Amino acid sequence: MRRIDMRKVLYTSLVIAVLCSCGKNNEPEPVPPTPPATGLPEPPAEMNANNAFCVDYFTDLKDKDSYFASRDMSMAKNHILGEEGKKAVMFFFDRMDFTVGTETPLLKICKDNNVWPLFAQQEPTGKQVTKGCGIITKTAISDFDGIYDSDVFLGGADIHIQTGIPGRTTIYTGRIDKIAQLDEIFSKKRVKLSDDAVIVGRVKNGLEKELEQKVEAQCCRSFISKGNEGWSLYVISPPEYVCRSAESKKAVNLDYYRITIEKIKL
Amino acid sequence: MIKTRHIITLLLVLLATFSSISQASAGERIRLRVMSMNIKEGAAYASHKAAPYAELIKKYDPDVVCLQEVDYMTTRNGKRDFLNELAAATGMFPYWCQSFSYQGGGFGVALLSKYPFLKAEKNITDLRDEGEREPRSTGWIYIRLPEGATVRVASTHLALKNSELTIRNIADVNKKIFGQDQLTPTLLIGDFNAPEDSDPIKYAKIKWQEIGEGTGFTIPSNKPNRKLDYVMGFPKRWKSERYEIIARADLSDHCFVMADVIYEEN
Repeated sequence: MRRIDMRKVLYTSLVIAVLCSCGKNNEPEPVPPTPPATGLPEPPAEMNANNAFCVDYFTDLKDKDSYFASRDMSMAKNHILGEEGKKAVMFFFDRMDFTVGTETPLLKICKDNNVWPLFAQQEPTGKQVTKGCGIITKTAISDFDGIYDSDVFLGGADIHIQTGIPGRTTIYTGRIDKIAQLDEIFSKKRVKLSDDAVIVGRVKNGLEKELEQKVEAQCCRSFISKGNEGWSLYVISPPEYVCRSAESKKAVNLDYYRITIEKIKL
Repeated sequence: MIKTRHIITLLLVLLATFSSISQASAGERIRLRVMSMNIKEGAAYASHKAAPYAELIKKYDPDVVCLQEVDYMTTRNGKRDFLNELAAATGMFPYWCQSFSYQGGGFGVALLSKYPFLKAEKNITDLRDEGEREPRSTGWIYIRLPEGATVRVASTHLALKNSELTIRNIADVNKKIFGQDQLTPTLLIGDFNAPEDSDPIKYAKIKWQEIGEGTGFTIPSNKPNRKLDYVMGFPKRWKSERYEIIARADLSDHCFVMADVIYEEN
């Protein structure tokens, strides 16, 4: 009788098992080719305030805890409804995590205040808690859209912004912790990103330079405000938009960036 | 010889196990609890207060609530932000679809979702030129459930004037919903303003599956004798595990509907 090598049998069964469990969905998606870089037209040296708008991005650029774990939510409400808040068209609260069935700060702020809550996930939906970025808008949003992948999360709203250049703008938010995520974003949102969409978010320290290069190769503009505790702030915009500044500010103990973006005529 | 037979059996068992796992992941399974609530003239029966509706929603703990006849800051509701109040009280994400401006605010349909939504859109069907009293809206959200499947849920309140206009309203909703996506399992829930054996429902069922077929009347809530509120599904692979008509004459002239629905790809 022929002897059977148990190791061979085990290896064979393992290989079969792996092959059987591999579905089509696990195949890596082809990375779209990066188009050759072309020179972007320089924006005007001086900002035209009539064509500029601001968004307030609340973050500590640490990604340690839920933003309101040790901060007072009522300060955020006062900021949004007060004089400073009037200057911004949208408010982003990075890591304003969502817990199923509870009156989260996002819902508390919006109740009775004539502002509307949205949420951009930063991870797959959890049974109880989902990490993400709370978004508050001053008008009810009809179109909310984004990317939800196992690795790439982007979410944002289409709004009308009163500037000297008419038209709607979609403002997305997303977190970049792998540079390949940008390929996915440009692949799925190429049309909007070459026209009327802006992304604000945070990028992992060390990836800033690559982000700038990748964005430039896609004929878009980028802006980085360097952080040193794990993450930096970034803004990506089409050629017809330029991020003029990201001023680090505080509303009592709430750290935020006032991001000024200008629509430009090329 | 016995040893060889054992090994072959083991291999076969392994193969069968892994191929069944692979098939199960291909057959997407969705399990969802949904509610339909026509709250009659912006919750007029409850003096426009959100609390009694929140209490009912929390009792049933649905994943998604589809609301119709919602007021937003109207004179008659005392300038209340009813939807955001309900969202805060239930800890669910709101999506507002205004059908038209009304009494200084708005009137329309809405959704509440236990989980964040990835995408939201609305469609307004305006048949006023043909005699319909007001524009009709349908809004939908995409949710990725914690188990991984994606589902689209729509809330609707269809045209009332006559069968022909209701059918045109359904056709318009179908065009928008299926024009952009025929792949995602979808639920269309709400007040169809048409009884079960009517032409509009026959027309709707060409594309949609009535999930709660033969489940009873939904109006008037004090003595139901007609069915106007439906849970429909696409593609026609849905089934209901539980379907409940909730008669609360203190909260609306419509009965509410609660359904546990399941979708299986295979």
